[in-house]
Amino acid sequence: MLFNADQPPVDPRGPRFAAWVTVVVLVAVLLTGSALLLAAQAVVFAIGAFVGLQFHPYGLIYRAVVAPRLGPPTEREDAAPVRFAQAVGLLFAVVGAIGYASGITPLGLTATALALVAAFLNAAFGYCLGCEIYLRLPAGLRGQRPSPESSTGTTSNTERGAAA
Amino acid sequence: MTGLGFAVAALLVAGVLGLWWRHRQGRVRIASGPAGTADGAELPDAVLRKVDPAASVTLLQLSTPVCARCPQARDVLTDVSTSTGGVEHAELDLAEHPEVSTRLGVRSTPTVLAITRAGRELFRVAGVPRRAELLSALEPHL
Repeated sequence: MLFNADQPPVDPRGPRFAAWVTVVVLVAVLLTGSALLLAAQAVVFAIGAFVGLQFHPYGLIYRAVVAPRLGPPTEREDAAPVRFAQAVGLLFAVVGAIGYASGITPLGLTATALALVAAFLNAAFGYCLGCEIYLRLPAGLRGQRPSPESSTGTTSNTERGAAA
Repeated sequence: MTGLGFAVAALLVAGVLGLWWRHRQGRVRIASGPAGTADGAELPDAVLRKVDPAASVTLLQLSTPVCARCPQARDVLTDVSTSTGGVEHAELDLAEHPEVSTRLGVRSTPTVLAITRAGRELFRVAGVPRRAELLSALEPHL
């Protein structure tokens, strides 16, 4: 599965920054009902999920503008769960955009609101819902060789700055 | 405006969920079964091998190779074990022992198990343990 291609671990502050930008965009979508804006966010999610985090538009902003002002990262996190989370976001954004574009506003509102819940959890608390789902998938689905016992979710708990 | 309503609702729901989750991190959770695991079965061999027979309680940190908060947990456990008599600290890599995470239902790292020298699980902590709570949970067993 492509999420498990060899990917370097990432500075966890990047995805967290991206989550904040996503929160702002999704709130704007809810306030304006703009299918176009949501579709643009869907493209952003798609880039993160399928092209790679290093090409994520918000990640690029982070590296260009934010990261130079911070010290080097003290830890790194696995890229695969983050990319999967982006794919989950993509799914909701696509459904929402279809909802708005076709006039089924409740669908647009609901899908966007759910994506906003996940994005805000990530941004404000460092809790990545998509990551947690990914880590609980059987090893076969994650593109890993299944472990000797029944498949398990050995994981890295991603530090997104969530204070204990 | 409905959009505003959905936005506010989403942020509130996320806020409540996030606060609840953060509250649960690093908390001590008492083992529900009488012996090792919740179903009363013994702890896996790989775990029991890490128990220090000279210590009243072994704090076993379950880690994985990519684990952003494991260093912090390590620091807390090192600090607690050096400053508290009868407590030792050990570590197990779940990637080398996937059967352990299945048997114990451990899905995230760091997870810390507190185990008596007899091989019984006293409690476990998901996330970086809170030092004060860890110390008070250990006290009755020292």
